Formats: sequence, C-alpha cells, structure tokens
Amino acid sequence: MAHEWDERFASLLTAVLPPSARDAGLTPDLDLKKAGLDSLATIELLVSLEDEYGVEFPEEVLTGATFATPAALWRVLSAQGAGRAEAGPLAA
Amino acid sequence: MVTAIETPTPSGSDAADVTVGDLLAAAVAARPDSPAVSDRAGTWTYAELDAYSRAFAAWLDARGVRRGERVLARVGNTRQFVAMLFGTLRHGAVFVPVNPAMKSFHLKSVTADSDPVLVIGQGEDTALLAGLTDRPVRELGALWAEVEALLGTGRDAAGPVVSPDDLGLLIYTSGSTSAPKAVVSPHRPIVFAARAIQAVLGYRPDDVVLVAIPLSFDYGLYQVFLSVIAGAQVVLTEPDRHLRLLSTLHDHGVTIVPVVPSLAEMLLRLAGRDKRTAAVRLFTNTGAALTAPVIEALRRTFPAAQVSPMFGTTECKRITVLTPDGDLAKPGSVGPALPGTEVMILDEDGRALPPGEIGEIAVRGPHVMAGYWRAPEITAQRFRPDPVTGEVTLHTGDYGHMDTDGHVYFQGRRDDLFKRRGVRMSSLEIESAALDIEGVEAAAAIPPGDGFDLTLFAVTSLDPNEVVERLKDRLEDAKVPAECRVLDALPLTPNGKTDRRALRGRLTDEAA
Repeated sequence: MAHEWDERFASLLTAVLPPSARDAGLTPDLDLKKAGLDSLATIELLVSLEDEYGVEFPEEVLTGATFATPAALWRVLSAQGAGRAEAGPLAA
Repeated sequence: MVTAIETPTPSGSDAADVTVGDLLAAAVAARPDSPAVSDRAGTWTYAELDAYSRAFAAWLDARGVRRGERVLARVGNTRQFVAMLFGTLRHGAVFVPVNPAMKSFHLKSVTADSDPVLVIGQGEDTALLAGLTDRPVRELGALWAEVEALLGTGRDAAGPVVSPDDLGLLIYTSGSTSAPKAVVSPHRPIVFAARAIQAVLGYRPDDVVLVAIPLSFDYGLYQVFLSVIAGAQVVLTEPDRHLRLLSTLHDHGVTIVPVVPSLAEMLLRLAGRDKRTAAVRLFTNTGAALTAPVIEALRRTFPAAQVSPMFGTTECKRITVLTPDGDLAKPGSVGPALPGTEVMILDEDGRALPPGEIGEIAVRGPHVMAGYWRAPEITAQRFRPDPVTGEVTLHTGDYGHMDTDGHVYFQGRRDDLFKRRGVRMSSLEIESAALDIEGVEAAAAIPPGDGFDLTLFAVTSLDPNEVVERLKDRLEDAKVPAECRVLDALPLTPNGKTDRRALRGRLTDEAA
C-alpha cells in the first residue's frame, strides 16, 4: 500500500524504532510512542530529518503531537517545505 | 598504607538537630522573594513555595493524616510535587515518591508495601492507581483546588513538632531481580547528605538548576534540597518537553544540569542544531556513568561548563563526589568519600583491601540511611552494625578500587565482575577500552554465559572485527571479547542505563 510519505522518510523513521516495530511496518496512525520512540530516539529523528530535508523545525512544532504518528510527523515536515510540499505555499 | 580515607566534616554542617523543613525555613527567611521553583506553568518564590507547603500540610491534617503515616505520590515534575514534599515532611508524615513510568507490576507491590494512608495520582493515571489499592486515591488537580482554598487561612500555622529522627522519605529502588524495596530515610541523614554534597559542589544563590530527571528518583529529588540550601532556583521539566530542552536552558538561564547518560546525549544532539550559547556552568552525573567521549563532548559543546562525576546509592544517598573538573586529573574516578564520611574497599571476608585492588565498596557515616522498609533480612545483610561500637557499615554490593589518594573507581555490581581464563575482570573496563577506540560511540560487554563467550555489543561505524583487533592493543588477551556485534543503539532500561539483561537474553536465545 502506498503512503503519502516518501522512501527517505520511511527509512529515517524506521531506523530509530526498535526491531520489533520495524518488522510490523509503518501505518499512518501508528502510535510511535507505543512503538518505542523514546525521548532520545525522537531527538535523533528530528536531527536526521532536518539534515536530510534541509529544513528546520520551528520551536512551536517541537511537541509530542508532532511525533505522535507517522502521518502527523509527515504533515509537519511537509509544512516546513520538505517532500511533496513543493506544490504548497510554504515551498522554499 | 592508606586503605580507608576519612574526609573531614565541612564546617558549618554540624547538622545535629535540623529537619528538612528547617532547610526550607532558612531559605524563606533569607530570600523570600527569590524564585524557588519553576515548571511549565509558572514560578513560585520561596515565600510562595513555603505557603503552598503549609497549605498542603493543613490539607493533610484535615484528612486525618498523622505523624509517621505514608503519603504516596505518583506525580510528574511539577511545582505541586515540591510543595507536597515539604508539606508532608512539615506535617511529620512520610513522603513516598513513585515514578510515573513505573509499570503496574511493580506499582502494585509498591502501593501495598508502603502501606500508605493516601495515594495521589495525576490525570488518567489516578484510575489505574485506584484499581491497584484499597487506600484513598486522590487526583492532583482536584485536590490542589482544596489546598489553594486553605492558603493563608491561618489553619496552616501550627503543626506537629518534627524530630530529625522522624522518617521523611521512603525511596523505592529498582531491585534488579526482586520486587522494589524502599530505603528508609529519616530527616537527619537526608539533611547531612544534602549539606555534604553541597559543600563539594557549591551551588550558589544565583544558580538555576534544571531537573529533567524524575523527582521520584533520589538524584532528581535531592536537587530540590541542594537548591534550597543554596537559595537557588529549580526548573522542572518532563520527558514530553525534552525536544525543547535547549529553549528551557536559554529561557531560564540554566546554570547547573544534573545528567544521566541519555539526557547528556539528548542535550548534545539538540545543541548540534541550536547554536545559541548556553550559560551552563556545571554538569553533575550519577546513576549511570558518562563515558569519557560524552564528558569531552559536553565540555566542547558547553565551553563554560565543568563536569562533576559522582557515585552513590539510595541506601546512603551519595558515596563520593569528584570536585568539578576533577576528572581531568583523575580520569575515570568518581571522587573521594563525601565529606564527613568514610569509604572502604573490602574483600569477601570484610577486610580492607590495599589501594588498587578491586573489592566491595563499603560506607560508614551520618549519611547511611535507616535500612530497608519492613525488610529486616535484607537490611541485616547490607546494613551491618559493628558488634562492639554499633556503628553501621553499609555494604553497597558495588565493586571498585581506590587509589592512594582515596579516589574511588567504580567497576560494577557483583554481577558485572567475572572471571575468564582465570582472570578477574569487569564489563566496565572492557567497555572503557572499547570507547577509547575512535569511532566507537557506545559499548556493552556481556560476560560469558551458557553457550556463549564474552561478547561486545557496540554502536560504531567500524567493522566488528576491526573493533576486536583494536581491543587487542588495549586489553590483555583474556579480556578481549570473542566477538563484537554492531547495533544501531544499545537498549536502555527506563532509568536510562544499558539494558544488559536484554543483551544477555539475545545471546541466551541464540545459544538455546
């Protein structure tokens, strides 16, 4: 099944999840905290996403809600001008 | 030959008859309008903290809570936690902090064992607590409205006279194999330990201390006492705000940060994307030791900061403190005995060992707590009174050695020590050697077991065989792991320590 996100996003996200969650696969509404995304892994993911997409997450989106599910995280990432947001108003 | 080092008591810390409440009273008298404690919702001055703690004591009184009875609180890092802590102790009752991350399995045993007259939960978690105990359970937000209604009513003026020998805290420690057990902490050793730590670390009135570690752990909890003794400010934060740690540092002008390894890693990664200069002047560390590369990275990233490695156990709070930046002269050391206390390294028969030899770390002094709660057998094993003088020696179950200057080098729990090919060694020394290899970020050595040999798990960009090869330059043959396995990250326990049991489990499963 195709998702709204791209391959790079999927691989960076799965890289910080424990092996058990990796095997189960990503669904848009996967509860990332329950899947094992702890504080340190969340910060690693933030840094790797910013590096990969050349964006900077503003302070106001550095919340648990942003990292709650793959869909939520992709939405916030896209809004910073990454991925498919090239068609959007925020595209850099 | 020096085998035990006694450090002199710091002047002015003759804490004969001081309670925890007296520490707060002194801060309130000296600087009532200075900020005492902040959380995400705001800040209280010392006068306000005092008023809320009095109101909470009055609230307990109205609930019929009596001296010596336990109040269990499973509450996050909030100002209310701090007011309840001082309020409960002011009332002569016993505060039992429990980590919100504790799972039902242990929580059930803790709520039964502590025998509380009152249990306080937060939000949805309150229902879980109510399902585990038959004692009255109250939700923090709801009860706080009642506490606020008592502010300044005069009903909070008088209270029972609290003795320094009254029990103040029950602190549960995670037994690695059995159910959690509580360390009985009277006011006297709490005050002594806090003052002695402060004598070495020297928190100042203008310091701002970031407590990102749970207040339910004694490392987090004692930050409150240290800060109150100094008249400094505590800034509380919680895991769901860790993404904003750097902004918290900047917004509050944080100067002191107590860290466990995972927190240090978080700060370092976040500092990589946030180039503002922080005002941090001191990192302290205990719980699990920072590796040398992490200490180096902290100094590089926070150029104004010194680093103070420490070592302790809840049974006496703190064993050693290395003076800030003392690791530069004594790398790998956790410092000398806390001022006014004694540390010894003992062999299996309880005889003191000469410097350099690994043995059990044992402790004497006014900081030794009063044993385990309602557990006379394990208390007798660990808290051993001298047959003649009656003075208690705490056998910590931790192993290490001491140098000729009395500096202690921690080697691990008894379980971390093992023999291979007839040579006694510790996982820690193998891990330290692995971390000395450029390109190894984290390492855990698992001793030989049934069906597997000494194995190193490493987070590294290097080839695993390369790691083993380079270890041969650093360790005698018997200490070189048979195999290195590369992981993306080491598994962690909820306390942020390497989850050795999980790693050993992998090897056991494969061998089965």
